[in-house]
Amino acid sequence: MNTYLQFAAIKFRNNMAYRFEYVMGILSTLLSFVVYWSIYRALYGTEEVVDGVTFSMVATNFIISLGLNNAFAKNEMFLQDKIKQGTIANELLKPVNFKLRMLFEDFGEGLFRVIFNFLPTVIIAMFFAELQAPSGTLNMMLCIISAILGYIVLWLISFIVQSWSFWLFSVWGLITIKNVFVNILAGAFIPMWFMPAWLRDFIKFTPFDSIYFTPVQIYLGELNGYEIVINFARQIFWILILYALSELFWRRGIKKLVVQGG
Amino acid sequence: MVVIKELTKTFSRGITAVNNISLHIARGENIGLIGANGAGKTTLIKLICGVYPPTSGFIRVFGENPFYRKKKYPHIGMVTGQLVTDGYNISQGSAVLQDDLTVELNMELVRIIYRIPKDVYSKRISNLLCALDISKLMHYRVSQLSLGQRMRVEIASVLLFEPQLLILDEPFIGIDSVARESIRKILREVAGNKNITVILTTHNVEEIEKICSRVVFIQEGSIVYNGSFDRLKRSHIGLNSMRVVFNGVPPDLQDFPIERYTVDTNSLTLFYDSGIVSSKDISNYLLANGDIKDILITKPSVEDIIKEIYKEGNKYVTDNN
Repeated sequence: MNTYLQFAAIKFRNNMAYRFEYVMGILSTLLSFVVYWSIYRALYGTEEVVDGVTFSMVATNFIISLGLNNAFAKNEMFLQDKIKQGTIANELLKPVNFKLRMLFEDFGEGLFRVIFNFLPTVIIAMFFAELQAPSGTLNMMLCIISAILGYIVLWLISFIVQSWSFWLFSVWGLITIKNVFVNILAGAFIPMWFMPAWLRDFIKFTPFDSIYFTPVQIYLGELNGYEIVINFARQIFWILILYALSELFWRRGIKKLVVQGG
Repeated sequence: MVVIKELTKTFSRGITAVNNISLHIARGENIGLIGANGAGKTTLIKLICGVYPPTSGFIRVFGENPFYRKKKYPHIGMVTGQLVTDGYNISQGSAVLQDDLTVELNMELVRIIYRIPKDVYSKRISNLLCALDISKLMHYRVSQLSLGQRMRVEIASVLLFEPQLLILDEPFIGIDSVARESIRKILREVAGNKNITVILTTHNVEEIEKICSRVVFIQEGSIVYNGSFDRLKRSHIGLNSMRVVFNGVPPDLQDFPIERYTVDTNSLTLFYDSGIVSSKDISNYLLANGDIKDILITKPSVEDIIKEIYKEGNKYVTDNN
């Protein structure tokens, strides 16, 4: 395990050397936040509460889900490049688990961006937007754990889509579709509270709301102890299901490579 | 180290990339694998690495069937220098390095993956930085490097974990002569190390001649020549050429048993088999019969010999150790 944590550390350090590039990242996150914040400001008009949802809850939802969305962005053509270039064979020679290494490296990069992109964005946004403070230290910690679980869900979805490169000429289109699904169904564009009841019921059967919405709800203190446990269980359930799927696709893909040549 | 008997690999598309190959590579040997594009070199290498299962035949690497081995090899190092297409454009795919990481962190990555102790690591890295002249590149990202720099870094990153079997797949593609020379230098050093077995593939013969002791020539999935360079040269002596420049008109050649000749206004180029007629006889005759200004005799290069073999196909199947 120590080995894999070092992979995360390597990526983190690599980004440290180029941290200036992330000033632009902060700007872009901030910009998209301001756009959504202004739209909802206008929609709220003079109201402070709509459907029992305060404006500051909406703003907080956006800063967390858009912020994490940008921080968790990664190179989704990674696997396709490796497969199309045939260099995946070299990866298989290395005495480490390729998938796990990929996860930890991405995690190291994501963590860097959370610290150097997400947090500064939140701090700047606090000056003009009505953000809500966390509903307690314990909730803050649970929120962080839930955000990490959400990241793993997001990562596994991305890995599954990427592993289609074994069969498709290009997965770029699939990735774009996946991103639309994630952004809408995970509540990064429209807060989950305002979705029609049928859509929310549907989303409850998908892994999408466990990406950003669960951490948001925990942060806001919307969930009681029992509900938090249920939501953690759902996140872990989706991680297990998605992991099994990703493993299936990965093994099938490698098998195809071996049989047909690549 | 590598034992291969009657190995065949047919892909599901019906292509037989490796056809009934037998090959034995001993520890510390340096093998040059030559063949045209699509001859089956890379497939053979992937079979040795255990990426593909063989369709039929016997293969043992480090005493194990590489495809069904229990653990991944920490002792195989592979450098791929092939220009590859990713579907949109041609790019240099770095199999070993991560493009977005600095060279220094790439080296650290190797240290972590192969669990090299820190003191051993720092000793090795300082040697490699010096030998491959890459200490100035440490803080660059790999994506910022030129092809030649990248290949040097790539070779360093593989030598860092001291593999027992080093595989270099077309390492010289697209690399200028200066970088080529420094790569060749370090490879000669590696080749001199009796603990490292080297397999070098290329379609440029010159590169191999300076590094490898044995050459295996593959064509359409089969071995057409397997032996030393010297024997290759001895057994397939091609035509020598002699270019002679005269002050005045070249003399008549009468009936020397030469293969062919071309004449310019005052120069003569002869092609002949030195087993049939000696260079000495021809030059003596020309000295006696013409006013010679300059003489240049060229032996056939390995490249020429290989071309001959290419043309003649499977005629020269020789010893399989």
